[in-house]
Amino acid sequence: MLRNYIKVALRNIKRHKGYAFVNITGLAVGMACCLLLSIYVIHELNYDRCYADSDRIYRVITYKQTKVEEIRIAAASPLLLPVFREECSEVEGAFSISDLRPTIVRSDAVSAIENRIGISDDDIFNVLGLRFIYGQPAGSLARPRTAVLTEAIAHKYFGSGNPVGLTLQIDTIVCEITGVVADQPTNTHLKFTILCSSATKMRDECELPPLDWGITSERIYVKLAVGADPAAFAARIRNLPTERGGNRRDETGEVISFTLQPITDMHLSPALKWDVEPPGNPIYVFGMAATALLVLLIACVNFLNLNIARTSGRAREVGIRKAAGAHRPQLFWQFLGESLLLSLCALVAGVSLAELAIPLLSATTGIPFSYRALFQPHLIAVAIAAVLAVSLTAGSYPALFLSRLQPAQALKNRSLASFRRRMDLRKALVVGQLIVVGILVVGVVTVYRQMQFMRTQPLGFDKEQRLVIELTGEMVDQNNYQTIKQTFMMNPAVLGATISTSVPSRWNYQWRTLVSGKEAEGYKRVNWYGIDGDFLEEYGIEMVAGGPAHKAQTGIGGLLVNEAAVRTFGWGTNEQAIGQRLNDNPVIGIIKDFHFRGLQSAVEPLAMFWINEDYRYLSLRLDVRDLPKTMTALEATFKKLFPAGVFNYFFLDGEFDAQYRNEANMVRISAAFTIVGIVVAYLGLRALVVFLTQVRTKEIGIRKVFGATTPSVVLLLLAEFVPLLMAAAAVSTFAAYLIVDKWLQQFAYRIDNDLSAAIGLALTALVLMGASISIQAIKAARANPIDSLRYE
Amino acid sequence: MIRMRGISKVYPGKVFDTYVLRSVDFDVQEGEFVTVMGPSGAGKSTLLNIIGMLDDQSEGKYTFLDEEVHQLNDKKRSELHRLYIGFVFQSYHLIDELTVYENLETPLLYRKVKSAERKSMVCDILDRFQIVGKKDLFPSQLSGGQQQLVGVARAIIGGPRLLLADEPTGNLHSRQGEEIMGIFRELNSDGTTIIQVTHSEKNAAYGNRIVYLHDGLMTSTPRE
Repeated sequence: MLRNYIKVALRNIKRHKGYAFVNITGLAVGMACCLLLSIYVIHELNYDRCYADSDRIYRVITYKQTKVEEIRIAAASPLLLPVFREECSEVEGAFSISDLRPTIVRSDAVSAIENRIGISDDDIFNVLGLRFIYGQPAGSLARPRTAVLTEAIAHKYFGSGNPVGLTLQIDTIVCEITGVVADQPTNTHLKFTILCSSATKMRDECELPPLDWGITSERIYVKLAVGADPAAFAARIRNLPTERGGNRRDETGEVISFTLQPITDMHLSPALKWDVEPPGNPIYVFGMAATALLVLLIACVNFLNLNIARTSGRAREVGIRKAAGAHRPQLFWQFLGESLLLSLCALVAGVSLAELAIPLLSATTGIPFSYRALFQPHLIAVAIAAVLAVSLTAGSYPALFLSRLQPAQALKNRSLASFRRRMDLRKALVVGQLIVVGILVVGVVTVYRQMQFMRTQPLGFDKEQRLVIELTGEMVDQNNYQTIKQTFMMNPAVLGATISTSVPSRWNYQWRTLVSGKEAEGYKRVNWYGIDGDFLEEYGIEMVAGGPAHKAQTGIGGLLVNEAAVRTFGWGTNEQAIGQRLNDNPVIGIIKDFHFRGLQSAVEPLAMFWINEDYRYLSLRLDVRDLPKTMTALEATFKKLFPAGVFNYFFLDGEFDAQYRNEANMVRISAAFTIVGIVVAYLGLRALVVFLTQVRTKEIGIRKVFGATTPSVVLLLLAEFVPLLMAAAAVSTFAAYLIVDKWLQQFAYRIDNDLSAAIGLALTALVLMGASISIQAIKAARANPIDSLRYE
Repeated sequence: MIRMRGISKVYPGKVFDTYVLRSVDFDVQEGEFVTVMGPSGAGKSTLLNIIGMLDDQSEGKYTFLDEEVHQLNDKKRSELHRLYIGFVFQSYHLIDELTVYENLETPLLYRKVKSAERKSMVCDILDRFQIVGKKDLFPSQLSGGQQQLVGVARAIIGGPRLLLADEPTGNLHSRQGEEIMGIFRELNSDGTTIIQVTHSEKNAAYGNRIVYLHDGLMTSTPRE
């Protein structure tokens, strides 16, 4: 019996190859899309859940409240640690970690710049439960100048084998390797490459100010004991600074307090100051999740529609089987089994497709997913559940309906007519599909337009052809920086050079600043750039008032501020602002606003001073005609100047655009899925049209015999669909408008939410779909009526 | 074998109900070969479908082999149908996706006949109808007459006691028709009860009794 069913199912697939192909591919592609997006969404939602006791680990957030603002900082004072460890019984463990800036690391064989070098102590291993491959957690970071590596880093510097006992030079400090831990997953913000013991004195730690409660030099984590109440604990530590006399900065009005944040909430919470990595954007995560579901929904609806269309032609077979003695349940299971078979094929194809596309996902999201990412138990469970759900719905509709037919009726093939009456549901499904596709299309186009807008918007400075070389502290100081510039300038391809503490798109100082005229409001947060005399010219930044910065003999000297600062601080006109003071340094010039960060945010107040230390970035304006040669020459120059240095550089335009990486990823991913959605929905619509014209073949034949012209028949068929298309277009345009409007709000500089673009797209889609239907209709209308009547 | 009393079939309409059968009384004894004749739309096929339990009557009592069919549930009824009744259609109604062999096998599958036995039964019938050479062909590869041969073979493969034939030769030319009718006569003489619906006087002559249907009423003589 089963064999018979399978045989029929396979032959049916073979006989209706086109249908089966469309059906299986549609569902497979939809499923693959959904799986891929799910991988990403699961990755984001499971951020920091990789630790055994993730749900009991919290990070301390410092609240700094002044009269004018309230800052939430992702770090806290190291004074908390002894309190946690010695006074709090509900604390099972606590550790602090701080990050070195990217630093040169050397072994005998390899030297390179490493990011995410942490400074911590043994307790981090107990709290996080990290697995050691070599060495022991206990005591591994107890002594000064000891370091624990991750597996990948150990392999990079020492090859395979046990590196414990060997040494690694980190910056200028030689550290002994005391352990190797397993690599961490990508979705944790507690990533590190190397952990140095906190007893090690790093060079840039030398001048740390004395500890107080307001210092935010460490990120502090605490693991609460099982059963401890986090809210009670948070309440207990909230006012520690006040209780212990830490809030003595009355002149600024600054009040410091603490709160706890579960590490599992961190990734999708609003950004905190000085967080170790920018948080994920919940809008994107939920947008992706929604897209995944919608694409799957479209594919399922399609499957449903096609399956109904295909099986409805089999009413006769049902009649025959019933006449041959089939029970209703037998027929029911036969149809269900067939749709199960189809969807299983789709599952296999979909999983394979997703597997093949994982590198693509990694490339677009920038997260290195492994091929195993797909084989997570809940993902597989969801995929199988989806297949079951799809085949049950897609199979049970024809199964229930066809198996219920009176055989006498089924044999007369009345079924098609009665299916026609059941078209409303399928029409609604197709309209729903088109609405979803419409929203996706309008959304993608808007995101793309916003991206283009941000890329082409004048930024107030030149970012093309600017090569930025990263320097490190020991390389450059006040005495040699001019020489370094000159050395690079000797290369004819270098048209200009400037040294600064920051460049647009990169990190810059944000100092607590006293503003003249606003002293009563206490400190304000102001962005600071240290620049040399060539910076403005090299970056094409315009002065609007006052004279250029001049080198002060002592201290910071005269400042340049941007117009945003003049506006924000209420200094009146640009001219009036000259002579105002920031942290008691006089303002001597005003520069035009330039976008030193991406266009997501408005331009903030910025002050520039003559650079006197921390010569971090060397920007070169290049003639890019023979770039490879120039780069080789520049690297040679660099090596000659800094034999021990690592030539680390970036192009400013690429780096600046990288700030839009999230948006760019979103464009790429959603564009891909929208195309899939369009194709699948189009197939669905076409199948419906084909089916409906088939049902009406006889009617068309009769009409033609009695003199209907081809155009009148085409109109007849179009009349059934055009209202559907119009309804779908109207609803999706409106819905897309609202959604897009919400999305655009997050950009300080944005395109108009232009409804005409949405309408234009909707119309284009309408015309295309209409054309496709018309072709079908014309085909039906031009057929010889005798043929259609004979077959009925 | 069949005892029908007051069988009616009504299609309810908005204004008028349409009667396809009006209070038909009809008896068939075991071993009879009955022909139902009448003009188009007289209700012949409906009557046959009701007898074959492919359709329900609206009113009336129907007893088949001492079972009160009108009181049976769906399952029991299809049980009866499966065990005792074979059906031959005017348009053959073979399953297009199955070969001749598999089409013949289908009723046996539904009767849960064991594999080996099934095989021998199908081979017997292929042999008997001299279509062994066609067993791996699909219906579309056969002529109308051959398809109907398969249709008949499928109807009788389970050894039904009642064979119902709805214009079995309606789509065939006369020589093929005669072949089918010859088989019917043979089956009947072997003891199978046959009820056929036909327009053809010639086919009717193969049977041993004729009833007429006019506008849903049954008579034993033709009405002009």
